[in-house]
Amino acid sequence: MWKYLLKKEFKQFFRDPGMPRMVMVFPLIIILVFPFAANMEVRNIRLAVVDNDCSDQSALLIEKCASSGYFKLLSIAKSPAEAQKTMDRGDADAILTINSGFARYLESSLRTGDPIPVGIKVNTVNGTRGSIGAQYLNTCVSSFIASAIGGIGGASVAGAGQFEIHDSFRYNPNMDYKVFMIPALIVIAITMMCGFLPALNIVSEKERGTIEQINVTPVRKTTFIICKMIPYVAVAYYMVFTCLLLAWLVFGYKCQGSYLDIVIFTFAHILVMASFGLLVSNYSENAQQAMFVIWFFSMVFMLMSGIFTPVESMPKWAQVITYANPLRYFAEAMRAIFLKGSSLVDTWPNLLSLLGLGSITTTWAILSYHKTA
Amino acid sequence: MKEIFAFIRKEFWHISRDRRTTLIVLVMPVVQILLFGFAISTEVHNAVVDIVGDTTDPIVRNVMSRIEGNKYLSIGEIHDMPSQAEARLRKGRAKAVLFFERDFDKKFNSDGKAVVRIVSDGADPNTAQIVTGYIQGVLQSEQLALTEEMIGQGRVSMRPNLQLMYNPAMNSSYNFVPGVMGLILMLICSMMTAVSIVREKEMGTLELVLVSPVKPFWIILSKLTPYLVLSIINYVSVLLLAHYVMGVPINGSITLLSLASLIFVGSSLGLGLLVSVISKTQQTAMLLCGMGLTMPTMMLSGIIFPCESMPVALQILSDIIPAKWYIIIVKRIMIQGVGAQAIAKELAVLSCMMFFLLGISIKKFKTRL
Repeated sequence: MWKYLLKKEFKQFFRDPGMPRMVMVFPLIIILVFPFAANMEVRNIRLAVVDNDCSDQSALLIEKCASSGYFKLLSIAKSPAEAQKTMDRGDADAILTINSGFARYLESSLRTGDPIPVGIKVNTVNGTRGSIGAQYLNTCVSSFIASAIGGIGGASVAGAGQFEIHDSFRYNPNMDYKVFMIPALIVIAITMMCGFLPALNIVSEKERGTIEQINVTPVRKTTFIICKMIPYVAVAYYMVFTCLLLAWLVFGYKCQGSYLDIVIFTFAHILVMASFGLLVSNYSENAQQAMFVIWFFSMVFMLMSGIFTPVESMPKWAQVITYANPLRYFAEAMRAIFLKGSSLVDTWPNLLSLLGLGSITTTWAILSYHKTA
Repeated sequence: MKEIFAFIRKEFWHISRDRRTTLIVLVMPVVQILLFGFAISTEVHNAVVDIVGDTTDPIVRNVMSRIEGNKYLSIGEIHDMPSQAEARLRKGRAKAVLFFERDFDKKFNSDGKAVVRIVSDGADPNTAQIVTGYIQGVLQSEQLALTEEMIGQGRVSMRPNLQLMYNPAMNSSYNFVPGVMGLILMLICSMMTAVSIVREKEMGTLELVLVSPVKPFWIILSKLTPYLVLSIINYVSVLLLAHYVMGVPINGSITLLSLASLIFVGSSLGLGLLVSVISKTQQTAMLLCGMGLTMPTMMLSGIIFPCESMPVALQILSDIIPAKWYIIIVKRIMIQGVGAQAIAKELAVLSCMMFFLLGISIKKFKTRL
């Protein structure tokens, strides 16, 4: 009986030409387009400059900022008001104001106490961009002044001892955001495919009326639900390995851990997502409802999983909610395996949680499916 | 005119008959804005820093108490062996490890130089960079304190005076809430309308509609009316929550914001309508909207990842997503508090999108089956 049911499910899947095509195209978009967009690096900070000093020194400072690589220099504004206007319009992220007396300040030897005649204004609507931009500008200005002043400031510090600070970034020394996002994007791809499709599955059989024909057969509920889930396991494995292959071919990223671990985790995740999708399908009256509900949950799963923003940044109550989020466990484990080469020794709590969630949702999906209307 | 009102009434009946879907559509955005408004944040709180070094060393102790006092960092475990710290990093228990060399205090005082290493979990580059920045700040302030103690005077401050505009408290919500508003409104609007026409096609009732004397233009318009009402309710609830619960200010004109939202909602409804007109089955329409629109909107419209950091090709691609323009407008009006002049371009783009999408849906709408 299993054989025929499976045959039916696979036939249903391949009959709609849209489905296999979508499964083929999705990994391509996931690996070839989105990693380029997923970038929190702060670059191209648009800098407006107000130069009230108009000296050689101020020109040098502007030149130094422009050549630092972080900034895109806009035209030099004539007045502070004009610069402010460009910021209001959203054309400038930061304004560097050099007040008159800048050159004199650098030449005079009496500096203690005087505030330096340079001002920085940054747009902090996006806090990260604002603060990192301010940091870059600060560094530029400070180092410019330090080198212009020469040894005077430096000498006194050298005598007093210094911390020699070395910093390094383990697992991702080049701070490559793409390699961080790729395992997570694979997770998202599987989640969407194996959440959305099952959610529409049973409910569309309900709408079409074909479910009646299954209900009058002696097929057991468990068999029926499990046979519905198996094609998605196949789809998920196809997608995971296509994505991994593409990531290697296009970017040269190799998985640091074992592929077997990925296989195990993918299975556990599909168990949760596919049965969750079927569960939604069971409770929905029509396809639109099923769609809205699964969309709602997949958005919550994605945005509260730590894939885009860290779980640690969430308030406590939101962190508690994430314990029921399968994506949190799967994404964390995939990143650990892919980037850090972690094994099951490190990630077993995630696997257990996934399996726990999976057994709950699968049982629930089986119980909530009624053969009699 | 009477026919048109009859049509609009018919569409309202369609919606009121399916109570559960209507309820879902109205409750969903409320729950989502509450969850995402608080949960999406890139602020780093209490990042765990492990220490490898001699804790009896005075400087190490000072640095540790400074880390404890820093609201962004907290001390995790103290190890003797580097390998233990390594394992904690791999398991993700610690975000960074601080390695102090042996006899740190003595070396600092006698040699004038002592080595400290910061190793952070670069798997998440963004967090790693921020955490490393905080730790460096802690170390520098400790060093400055030691230097001042020795020299006995304040060093010349070479920091330029810094002014934070619009969001001086650096609230993460100011950045993310407008994005979430755009995402939710756009997707719910387009998913609602996506099935409207294709469902009647599948059920066969579209034929009855087409034989009526009402022109396609009015058929489509009457289809949109109830969804427009639902979308406006959603906009109001999302805005109220954003302001009163999430604490995002409304510094600009609320009329202007509402006008922009109306245009944005119009273009999103148009997008859904277009999907509905071109799809053959409900399933295709819903997968197109639910899956096909969600990912690009989330990734490309600048909600989480700033558009400015993307390659040029993707920036151009992101220009066709209505949410991108709406999010820019919302940020400018709500947070920067600017007037109509500063958002004229974005508003014009959105209006063009709305007319284009609605126009093309009407044109593509076949009056013959």
